[in-house]
Amino acid sequence: MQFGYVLIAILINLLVGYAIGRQIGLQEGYQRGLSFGPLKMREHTYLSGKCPICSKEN
Amino acid sequence: MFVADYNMIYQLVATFLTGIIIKLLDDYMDEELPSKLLSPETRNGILPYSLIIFSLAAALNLTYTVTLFSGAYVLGMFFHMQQKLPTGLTGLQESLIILFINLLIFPFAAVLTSLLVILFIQSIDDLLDRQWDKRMGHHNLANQFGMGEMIILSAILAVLLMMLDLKKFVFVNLCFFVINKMYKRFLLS
Repeated sequence: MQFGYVLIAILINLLVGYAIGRQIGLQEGYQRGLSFGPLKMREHTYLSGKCPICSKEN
Repeated sequence: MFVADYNMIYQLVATFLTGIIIKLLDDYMDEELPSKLLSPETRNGILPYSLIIFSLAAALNLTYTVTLFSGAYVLGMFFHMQQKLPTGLTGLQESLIILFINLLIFPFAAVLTSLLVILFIQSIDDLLDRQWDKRMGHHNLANQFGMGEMIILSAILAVLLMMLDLKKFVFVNLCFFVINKMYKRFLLS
């Protein structure tokens, strides 16, 4: 019985830590994606000669 | 540990019959009843047969049947909290009323373990049906909170249920597994 309580306490700690870490990671990832997106699109335009959104030739 | 008598068989059969009813209710609410049940011969029989099966399950073991079915209803309505239902109450209000009535009639431990086991089954089901529910736009705990969180929550519920009521946990999981297999084999093929 006591083993069960200890196991539940460990799992709750794991759950809280994982959930907080994932939320922080999602926010950081979104911010990095916002700054990475325009650079990646410009690279694609430069290499292919076409706009990645509307496929219009340069 | 357990006294093996007819009581356990009645509990198992009651759990199995209640599981069938909950599965039917779930599919009816999601408008996903299989086409074999929606044919003109069988469509009108769904409600009467569901009530007969429910009454048989209740006759075998009243506590298991009513607490498990009420638990499924409470958790189902809980996720449609703000929606106005035909009674005029919101989902949350109906859930609380049903929960209160159950707590008045049945022991607290029975109601609690039934709620927890239904939540466990719901989380396992949502983990398995993540992609399907995302495509169909159904509410899914794994999509809302994340897969990792739901796996850890399922582990917590499993340990808690094994400590509180191992028999109910084993019976409900067994019935869930068998009902899913039978459903896919006989109704979806």
